[in-house]
Amino acid sequence: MAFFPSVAKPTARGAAALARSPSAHRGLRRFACALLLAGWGCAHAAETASPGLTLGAYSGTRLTLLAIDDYALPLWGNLCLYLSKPKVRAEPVLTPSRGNPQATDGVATHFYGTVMQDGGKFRMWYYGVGWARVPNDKDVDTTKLKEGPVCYAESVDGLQWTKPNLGQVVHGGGSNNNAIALPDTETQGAFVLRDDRDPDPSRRYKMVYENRRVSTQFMSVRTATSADGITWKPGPNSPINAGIEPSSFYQHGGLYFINAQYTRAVSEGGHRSGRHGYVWVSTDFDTWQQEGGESFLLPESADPNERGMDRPSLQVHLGVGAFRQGNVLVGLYSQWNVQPRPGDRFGRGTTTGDFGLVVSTNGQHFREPVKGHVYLSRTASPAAVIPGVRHQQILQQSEFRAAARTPQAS
Amino acid sequence: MNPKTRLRCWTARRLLAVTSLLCFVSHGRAADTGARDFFFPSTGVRVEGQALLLAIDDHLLPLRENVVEHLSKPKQRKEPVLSPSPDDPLAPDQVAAHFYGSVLHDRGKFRMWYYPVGLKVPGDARRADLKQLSQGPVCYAESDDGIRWTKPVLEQVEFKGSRRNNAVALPDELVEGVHVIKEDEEPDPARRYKMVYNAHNGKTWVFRTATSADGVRWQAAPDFAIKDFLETASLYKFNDTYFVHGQRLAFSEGGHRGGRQGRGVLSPDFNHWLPGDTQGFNLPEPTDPVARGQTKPYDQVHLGVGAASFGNVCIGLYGLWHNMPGDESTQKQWGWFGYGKISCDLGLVISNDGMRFREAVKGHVYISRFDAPATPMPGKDYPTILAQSGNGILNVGDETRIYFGRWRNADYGQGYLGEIALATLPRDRWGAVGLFPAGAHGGETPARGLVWSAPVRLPESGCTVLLNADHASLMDVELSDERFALLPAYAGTNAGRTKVAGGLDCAVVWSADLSALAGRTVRFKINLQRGADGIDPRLFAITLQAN
Repeated sequence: MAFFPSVAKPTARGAAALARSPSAHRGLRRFACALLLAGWGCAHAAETASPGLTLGAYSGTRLTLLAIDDYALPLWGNLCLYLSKPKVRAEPVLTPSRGNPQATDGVATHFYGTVMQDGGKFRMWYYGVGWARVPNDKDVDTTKLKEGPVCYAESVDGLQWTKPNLGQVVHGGGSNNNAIALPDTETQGAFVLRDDRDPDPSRRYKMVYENRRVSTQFMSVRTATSADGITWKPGPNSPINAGIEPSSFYQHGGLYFINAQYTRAVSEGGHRSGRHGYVWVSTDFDTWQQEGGESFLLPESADPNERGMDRPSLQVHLGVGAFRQGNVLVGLYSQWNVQPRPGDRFGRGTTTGDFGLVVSTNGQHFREPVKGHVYLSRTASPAAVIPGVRHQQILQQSEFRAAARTPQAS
Repeated sequence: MNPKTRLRCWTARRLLAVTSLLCFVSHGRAADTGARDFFFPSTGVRVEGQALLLAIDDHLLPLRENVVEHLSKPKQRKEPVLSPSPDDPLAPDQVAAHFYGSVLHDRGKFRMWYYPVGLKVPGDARRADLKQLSQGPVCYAESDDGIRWTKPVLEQVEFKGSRRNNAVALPDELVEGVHVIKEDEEPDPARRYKMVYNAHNGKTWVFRTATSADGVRWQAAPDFAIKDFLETASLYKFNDTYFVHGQRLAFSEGGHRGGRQGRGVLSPDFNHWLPGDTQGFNLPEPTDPVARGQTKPYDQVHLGVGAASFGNVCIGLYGLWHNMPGDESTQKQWGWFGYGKISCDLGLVISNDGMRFREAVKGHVYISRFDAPATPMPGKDYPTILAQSGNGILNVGDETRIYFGRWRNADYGQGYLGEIALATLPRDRWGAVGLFPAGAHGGETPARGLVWSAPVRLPESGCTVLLNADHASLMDVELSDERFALLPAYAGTNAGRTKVAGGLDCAVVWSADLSALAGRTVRFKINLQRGADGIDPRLFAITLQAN
């Protein structure tokens, strides 16, 4: 019974704080916490006989009860929620390699990516954008851009990053770059997890990366495995036959999840749909269920004619970029404010993206602790400005350890 | 004892009391496993006898391919089923009969409890002076068909000097919502019927409980069940816990004022109600804290969630309250209220734990005030406020009935009215999944689609699987283990099928004996196939019935 699960010695911490409302007395706050933590220690053990700590369907050695998680902390008295405001570092932690003609990220370093603290250092996999051929100084023709391949960086402190010369991919006449060799010529997001439970050391690192299948019009995903996170062996092409653009890949409840924007969704009643968050799951990483599930959606317009990815509305860009902490997943979604212009369905220079905060218990369904709340505003985390050019900002979420900023020149 | 010590003692006492209650409930559930129980590991819910997997439930039907949701549109009965008695000066409901109420289908007849508004002094009930209104007492009505209702003379309450009325005797005079459930499994016959009613404690709206052997004569609890404001919309029992959902004016994020939002309080035994509440259902507050609050113009959740329990799932409606401020400069009573301006639609919500509800389709108006307007006042175009109660949602035969309230929000003193209405659906057909329409993906027309269920542990007694579907013969049902591995004896060419073209209870039959899976945890995979001439099968629900 998920409602009265067994809990002992949980650790409550989080990015938000429960605090008493102005009318509350001080004792009730402690009382509420004590009730939730101690009262549920008397278990119904019949369904969850595994050792350790159990909360709902989860069992483990550590539980985290976040103030923003109304499943783990369902009953409140005289309390209200105070969401934290993340401290934003003004300077980017990683920028494009403008001066290296062999770099595959000469134009943009997109954090449709992963940061992992691994073996005493930080490791990053990200999506680089470079020129398909060496441009001249004034070349701004985006049709000459090349998306991918996946790039790699390392850091001691997560702030100062280096791009190791991996020598795996030839670009611009040489392989003096940090690109990772994978069979797809056009890639975007790269999402990596370290799976210490896999008995096969050559599968210690698992990657889901976004690629464009040669024979289809839409972006989808492909998997890869690695012993070290540097040299990768690709999985079969098109493990999921759907148009998806992911922002996270994680394990939860014995399943692997890809959380993504589904580009071919249909809204209620069979009408066109905007961007929303969906998940795809696998029990073994090799075989993926072809069926997706709703993860996080925003309302569609009441008028079906006003629905669609190219209609001015608030949509969910890239799904949920989620971070798992044992029993709970915390994520960001991009509140993608679509502002198309005539002849420009994307809205270059007009479309913006902020971050909303979401939380999940089961790995599939995410909910906002405070509906509609902008957790991280584009105005609080602006991308570098080109002098004399007015920009809109798009924030991109990913594995929730970092965020990227994209300028939209207008 | 100084105040701090006293507070600590109070806290410790309450903590011990509530902890005991929670322990009782938890152990009670663990010991209760029955041969006819279905258990859902992903939600922790156990239900005896029958389980319902609704198309609108994306937690119990979580994975889907090439199918899209179609919400149903309830059929509206234009005329009210119960109206006030404007020409009876002794009637407690001379002005309004509000369905902040309940309907039970009980021993062959329909029974209703509702909240009346009358006149304290003689006057024109059709243009009532709002300063002279009475609220309550709880009133009672009966019907053979649920459409034509009578108000029996109960002679329990003296109202304006007369006992010839349908009021129910309870200790509170100022009353609003009334929510009644019947529990046949209750061992004490004097507690067979249970009521929660909104009463005013002199400071704010709280609720009191009452029990009854017959639903007519009630024994009220000596004390109010809670001490903080709550305007109620439902009482139900789910997973062995009693829930009351309603509306509170909670503080919003950051400690600012908030508008009306849905909250739930709960009890393990109906006698003791836990302090605090759960966030039943919220709508977004404005970004600017100054723009938040009960009197500010934005959509709010009126009365919280009015939900009914269907065993393993709760379905409810919330009031999508289009708030508008009043003109306080008029110095009228309740001048802050938007007379003649506020309107309210109903949205559809669902829950798998009885506490937290989510919309089946975010922002969707399920019952519109324009489709179910209150009886109009000649020459006027006043807005309608629809009011939901979960205790008005019930399955009767092949129908799902939704009793709800219609409130004519007239200008101050110019024709306020409350009446009770009925909308219906074919049983459990709140919404369906169907195949993507032709051309949904740039010309592709998927020929097939499918839906996976969450894991379900089948009862030891075995079970029957029923599809509530149109064109059910275009569907088949496969079974897998909980990790999606199909069970060959129940999948592929051995998939279960129904011999019925369609209907509310299309029995699925496998060539293998389903009883061999008794006690096993399985998933259902329902495959939909487009038929000849493009026929699109629609799946509304899967009903699992224990043998």
